[in-house]
Amino acid sequence: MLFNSVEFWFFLPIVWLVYFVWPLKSRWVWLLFASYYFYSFWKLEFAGLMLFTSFLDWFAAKQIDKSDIKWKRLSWLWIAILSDIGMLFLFKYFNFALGDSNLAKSMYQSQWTAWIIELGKYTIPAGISFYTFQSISYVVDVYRGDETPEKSLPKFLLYVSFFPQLVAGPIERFGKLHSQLFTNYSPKWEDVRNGLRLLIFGLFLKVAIADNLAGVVDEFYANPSKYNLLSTWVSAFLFTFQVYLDFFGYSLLAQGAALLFGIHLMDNFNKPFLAKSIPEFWHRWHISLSTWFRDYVFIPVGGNKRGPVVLAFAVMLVFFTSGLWHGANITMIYFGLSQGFLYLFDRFIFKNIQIQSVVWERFKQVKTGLFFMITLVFFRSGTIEQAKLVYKQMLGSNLGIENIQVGLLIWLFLIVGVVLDNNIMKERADSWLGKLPTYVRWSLYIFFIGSIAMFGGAVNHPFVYFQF
Amino acid sequence: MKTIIKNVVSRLILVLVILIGFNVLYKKEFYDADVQKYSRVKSRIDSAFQYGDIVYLGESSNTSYNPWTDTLKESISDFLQLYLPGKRIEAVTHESYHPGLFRQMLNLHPNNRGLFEFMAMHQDQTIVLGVNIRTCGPTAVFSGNEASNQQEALFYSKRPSLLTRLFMSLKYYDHRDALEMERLKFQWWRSVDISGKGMDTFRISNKYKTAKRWIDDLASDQRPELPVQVKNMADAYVKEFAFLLDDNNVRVQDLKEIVEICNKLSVNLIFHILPPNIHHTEGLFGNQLKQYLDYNYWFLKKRFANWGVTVVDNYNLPEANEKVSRFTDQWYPTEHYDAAVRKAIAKSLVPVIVEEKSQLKDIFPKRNNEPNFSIKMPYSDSLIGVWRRLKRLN
Repeated sequence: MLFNSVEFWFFLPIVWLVYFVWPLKSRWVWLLFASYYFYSFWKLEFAGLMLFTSFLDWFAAKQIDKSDIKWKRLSWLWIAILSDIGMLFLFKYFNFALGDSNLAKSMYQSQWTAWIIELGKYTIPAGISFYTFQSISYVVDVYRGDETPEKSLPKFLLYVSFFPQLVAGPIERFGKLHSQLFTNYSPKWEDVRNGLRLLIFGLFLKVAIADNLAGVVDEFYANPSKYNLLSTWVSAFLFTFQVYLDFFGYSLLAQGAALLFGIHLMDNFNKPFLAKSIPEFWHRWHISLSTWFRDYVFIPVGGNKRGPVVLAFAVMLVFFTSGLWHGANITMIYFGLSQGFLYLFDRFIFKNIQIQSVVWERFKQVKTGLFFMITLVFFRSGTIEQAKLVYKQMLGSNLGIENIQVGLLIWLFLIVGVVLDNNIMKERADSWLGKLPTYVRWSLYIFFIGSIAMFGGAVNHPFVYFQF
Repeated sequence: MKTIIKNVVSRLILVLVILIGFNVLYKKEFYDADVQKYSRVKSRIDSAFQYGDIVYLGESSNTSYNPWTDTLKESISDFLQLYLPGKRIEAVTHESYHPGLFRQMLNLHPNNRGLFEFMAMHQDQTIVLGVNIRTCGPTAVFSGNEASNQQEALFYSKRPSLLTRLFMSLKYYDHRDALEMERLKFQWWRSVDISGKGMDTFRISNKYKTAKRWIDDLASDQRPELPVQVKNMADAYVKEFAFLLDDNNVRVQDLKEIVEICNKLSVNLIFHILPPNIHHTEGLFGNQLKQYLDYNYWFLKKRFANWGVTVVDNYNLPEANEKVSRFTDQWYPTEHYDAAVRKAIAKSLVPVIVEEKSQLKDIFPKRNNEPNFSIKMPYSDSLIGVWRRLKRLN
């Protein structure tokens, strides 16, 4: 079930109403039931897979906690990590790794293994990358002694499957989510009101802006070579905001849905296009994933404390893995690596240029946004050949003559969304809306509702990050 | 708790009022443009139901013709109009349409009372619906185009227009994407038993338990002397025709619902079974594949008889299969016919529609009503002959 589906908008109020009449102490049981229903609505088999992964991590963490012998603790840690990664590999990367090899062909010939090829080729269990990372963070934290393991399996299952953040994050840490899920806190009107505000603004960003942009970008990428120079750049620009508003909108919807139950999820975005360098950009973009990589990959391999060579290695490793995390495609690896190189360029070279000027500060912001926009071509292209073609066109060769058609309304929505987010809202949307005079706030609500209902994007697109 | 519920309900009412206002605005200013953009057939359906004595619902078989050999371009429904000049024939035709979409189209029938209409109209009408056996198979059911068809079909409804628009934005239709459909198709070929085991009234004899085994076997035959074009064609024929219908088939269920809806709307309904390319099917596989066509035909006929629907049976239409060239697609299984077959199908419909048999007069359009065989086309017959010889088919 996706947040931009009719089913979800029936599901959410029902779950919410039952939650309120449910006995306070065991409300989490209802949330667990609802979360598994939410996930299995999409495919029942995948709920079983999530259950299995969660059980394994819960059990491994218990064994780690029980033992004082280092090798035993380490063995359980690696059993958990390897089984999580193995599962991820099987469903997400197996086909990519096999390619058109004979093994792939013979697996497809067999009645017993053909389904693995089919599944990996065409469908990935929703949110597998998100909940796997969330689950891994728990086991590692227990191993490090940062968390005490959860004794109750059902409670751990809820931590992994809590429906607002299940399919596309934010990737929450055990301590933060656990302390909220099981404290018998009953949501206040303030929580509910803020939750509703985030829901409406998130839906506006996703349905009215990102989905409309998706229609234009899809049209360009269906046949890039027929478009001219300006259209190529415009499509790259629009895709940048499609990805951003799609995922930012989704994150707000997740936060809004969780707030209805009194749960505060972390902010996943913090005005990334105001960043003045790529390192800063990644502190503001998909924050839950960036911090995950920082804590579980970057710091363990050396971080920034062991000199520039180790730092460069750690950065490239993080971005390579992050690229691969985004999708089993060579283009995603290129995307990750290009981000890594730009990160190092900004970290070691660009950082040393110090000019005290407002113009320079603005230039740095534009440069960072531009760098990101250009590398996103890898992210959007289906193949390296297509990415090369688009880059060539951006440089002025192999151009077609057609103009990309972007409706006036799409520009209007985009400007409203971006200006609101970057320039007007100095805090999160719910707090900002709450401080406005009632008539202004309701005028904005009417605008959001009208835009969603009358002009929502018609293209058949799930959330961009849903596929990860 | 009570305060929260009260606050939420009061805001919901306000939002509902806003939405009702937007519905009026949308209907007046934007709806027609959206219909043009997202559901181009909708206005055609409205006018067909409004003005037609006979409404012909069909897919590409109605209008397809071979631009090189067909000297007559008239569709089946055009020919029907020539046969019945006293009746107004309206056609709704679109590529890859199927009973699931025709069923939804009936929502727009004037005899169907809308949500905010006080009473329904009563219009005497006959609906002729082309039944294409191939559209019941996995290749058609799991077609990658289905999401866009279903998006169009959202507009085949009398619900408030804004709700339709909102449903489109929130993807409230079967929006499984092309990849997911591809997976389901492969899963079907791999897992559904086509050996006909356990069937008591109809015997199927085939060494392949699943379509996938059959397809794999075809692919593994590496003999270079087998014509590649025919190999591809054989693969396509198995994928399109090797299935056995049952009552759980989604198209069968749609057809049944169409009968029920038409009964409810007091509309005459005629199913006419379109002829498949039996000539090529037999040419490629003898009876091994044709038996599936025969079974599915038999199954549908039996169901149609049970449901009490009028049937025009063109499955074995002589004009369609006496010469292979009468199918305009030579290398892929379709139900696209040349003018002679389209005319013959139309002619077969006439006696069922008109009560007085004396009304039936044959038509002789001024132009040549036969295909122009003097134009040489790369017909598949000769290569099928090579294939048959090498495959040692009887």
